[in-house]
Parts: sequence; C-alpha cells; structure tokens
Amino acid sequence: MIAGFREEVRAGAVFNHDGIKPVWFDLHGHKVAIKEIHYKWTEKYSGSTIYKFTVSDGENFYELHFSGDDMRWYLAAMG
Amino acid sequence: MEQRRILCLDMDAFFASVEQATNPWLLGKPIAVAGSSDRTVILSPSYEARKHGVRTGHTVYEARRVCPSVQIIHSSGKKYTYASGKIAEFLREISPDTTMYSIDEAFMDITQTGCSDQEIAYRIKSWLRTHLRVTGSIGIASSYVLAKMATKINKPDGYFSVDEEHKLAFIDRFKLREIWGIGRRSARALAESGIFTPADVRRYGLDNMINLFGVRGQWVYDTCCGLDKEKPLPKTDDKLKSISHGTTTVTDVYTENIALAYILQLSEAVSYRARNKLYAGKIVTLTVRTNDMRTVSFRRNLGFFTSATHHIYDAAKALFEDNVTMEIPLRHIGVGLSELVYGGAVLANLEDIISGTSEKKITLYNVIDEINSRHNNGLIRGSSLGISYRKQTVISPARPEQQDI
Repeated sequence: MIAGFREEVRAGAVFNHDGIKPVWFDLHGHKVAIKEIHYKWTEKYSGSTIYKFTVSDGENFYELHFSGDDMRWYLAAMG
Repeated sequence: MEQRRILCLDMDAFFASVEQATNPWLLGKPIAVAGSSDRTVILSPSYEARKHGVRTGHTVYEARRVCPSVQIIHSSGKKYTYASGKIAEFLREISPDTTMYSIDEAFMDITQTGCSDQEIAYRIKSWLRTHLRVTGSIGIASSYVLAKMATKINKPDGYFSVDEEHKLAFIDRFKLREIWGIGRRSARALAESGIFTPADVRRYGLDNMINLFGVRGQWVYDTCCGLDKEKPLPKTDDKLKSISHGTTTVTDVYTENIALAYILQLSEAVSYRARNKLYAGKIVTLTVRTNDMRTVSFRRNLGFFTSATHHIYDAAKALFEDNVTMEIPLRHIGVGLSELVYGGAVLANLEDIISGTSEKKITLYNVIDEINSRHNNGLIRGSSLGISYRKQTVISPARPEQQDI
C-alpha cells in the first residue's frame, strides 16, 4: 500500500441530501469504479473542510479526498 | 421454551483499529489514539502498542516512555461514529433486537434468528473484516452479563459461547470484582460480609442478599446464577444524569485568571449542551487536577434549576475561589451540571427577572444558539481572556449512530 501523497484526480460523484458519494475516479487514464465506500469522515485544515473516503473497487483500497474549498478530488493512498 | 441467546460484540481497540484501517501507514505499527493535546490520555492503544505495555489511560508521556516508537494519533470522532453507525445498521439486519450499548459495544438478542451461535458470529466477523477492515470479539450466552464477560475470553478477534450447562462453571472462573457491573466498591462491601466469589453469593442465598443489599443484592444474586434479565441501557443522552466537560490544559495553569478563563469556556460548553438537549440542573461541580495528578471535586447546590452559562459559571467560579489555592499548578479542569430535569432550558432565575435582565439574557442565548447551529457549533463563545478551550474531539459513547457527511 502506498500512502502519503496527494495527487489530483478526476472523479465522478453524487451530491445529494445524504452527502457526497464518489462513484468513480480516473487513475492515470484508467477509470476505477468504486464498489464500496468503507469509511467517510471530515477533517478541517485551516478552516477548510476536507471530505475523506476510504473506498475500494473490489480489489484495491484507495483513500480519496474532496476539498470543499477548491472542489477538487485528490487520491491520498492506494494499495 | 426456547433458550434465550444474547450476543455481545465488543470491538477490539476500536479507535486504533479504525485509524489503522483508514491509514495504511499505521498498519502493523504501535499506535495510540489520544485526545487533541499532547497532555491528554491514551484512549485506545493498538494491539502492537499494548504488547509494549501501552495502556488506555496512560498519559502520552507514559506511553512514550514504555514504547518510544508509539505513534500518537489524535482522535477523529466522526470516523468512529461513521463506523459505529455502519456496524449498528448491519447488526440490525441480523436481529432487530440490537442495542448499541456504546460506540464500540453492542448487544443482540439472537434467539429468534434461527441461526446457530457460530453462524452468526462468523457472519459478523466476516462483515467487519470485509467492510470496515477491523475485528471484534464476540461472546454469546443466555444472559447479558455472561455474554459481555465471554467477549473477554480469547480477545482480540475472539469468540466464546457459554452453553447453558456450563454457565455456572464459567461464572466461577471470575472473582466478584471481575464481573461486569460489580464495581470495586460493591466488591468491597460484599467482601466485608464474607462474600468473595460468585459461588459464595449463591450459597448466601437470594433472601440474605436482598436483606443485606436490597435490589442490588437481587441483581448480584441473579448475575451470579447467570439469570440477569435486564437489557443494559445504552449509554445515551436520553436519560442524562449529568452534563460535564473537562479539558486537560495545554500547559500547566499557574494563575487564577487563566483558570477562570477555562472555567468560563467549560461552563459555556456545559450550558450549550444543556440548552440544546432541553435539560436544566441545580448542582454545579468543579473538578481540578493538579500537576502532581491529584484530583479533587467540589459541588454547589444552586437552589434553582438552570441551563444558563452565567449561573453555571458564577457557581463554578465561587467554588474555585473558595477551594482552590493555586499553590500547585493545574493540569485539568472540569465543570459539570447534575440533578438534571428534562423538559426545557432554563435561562433566567428570579434574580435575573427582578434585575430586569432576564429578557436580554434569553435573547442573547437564543441568538448565540441560532448562530452556532447555522454555522459551526461553538463559533460564538464567551469571551475569556483569549484562552481557547478547544472543543473536545473525544467522542462520547452516547451518540454512536450520528453521521453527518
């Protein structure tokens, strides 16, 4: 498992009254379909809220971050 | 009649396991989840850290002394709450008669499920591993107390089922002090009457136990016979007995002004929760711990019910001024409100009404609560000489199923 990086990724997500649900993200040109969200939580950094998700595609685990400030998705761990 | 079967799930080092499940850097390493400052205590050490002697309740300093490589992780309540909510959801699919006793413990009546003990335990353990990547220990027995005690056998990732025939032999493995629900004081009171073991309790008999200890005596007797029937009440806010907030100060507190600043912010935190949950109380408690780790509490009966910061603060301040000399610096301060009644927040007393300030105060509290609920709880707080009491990140076991993202 590799962690400790923060790479911006393209992602598709559903935003509704239940919250944010990432559905897929693009990993170096390869579309990863998210099969399960294992954990989701929020953290605050200097007043900005970061939405964090531990997800899996059925095989590998990934940690995705969504920044409420710049509305971008980041990959923070995979393995 | 079908034999009742109760399952107790006790998560293994829950906070630490969730941290390891969500952060691959931490897997297999000695870690310990602590509160938000370096001076708080360890809430949950990982099993790797436990092997080195790190225990729940150690200060961060003690943890680092016994295990220099331990990594201290600040607790992240939302993550644990999320996981706990998911566990509750899953357990209720198996049996609707599920009670989340705390954020990391659940009781289920599995009598009607039509599955064997092993099948259910296997299903739960598989789900925990697959979906949350954590483990839990499962105990199954015909009573709540026995099920809870069975989780301690073979922990972590344990499973132990107590069958009906052997339940007394199982209970007799424990000293009275080790039985869930019998505390140190109860065990001492029993010992003073020559009762040291569960077998002694049974020999002593139900009538004698009731004569000596009243209703509690009956509970102890039933428990020692494996017959306890009452479902343990979840640790929820539904029937609050007291509301308290405490904080380990960022650095030792040497002056009265700084201590009072903390007391004001803690009073505000207590008041905010009381207002929010529609409780009022009339006993205010001040707790201080000096840096030589001595803890003392002082209480004052206000003589009226209140939920208001200014009443709580005034009483806590008076307790402080009357009892605390500041000869030894303080490292922990707590403020509590007890003898609670439910039904509404009380924000003004007779004195406020007579002085004509009651309306202003009520309006002020309402405005503060409105702003705090719209933005972020705690955005507006009492001014306190620039000292910021950080909102506790330690999650209360009382609200295991709330989720907010």
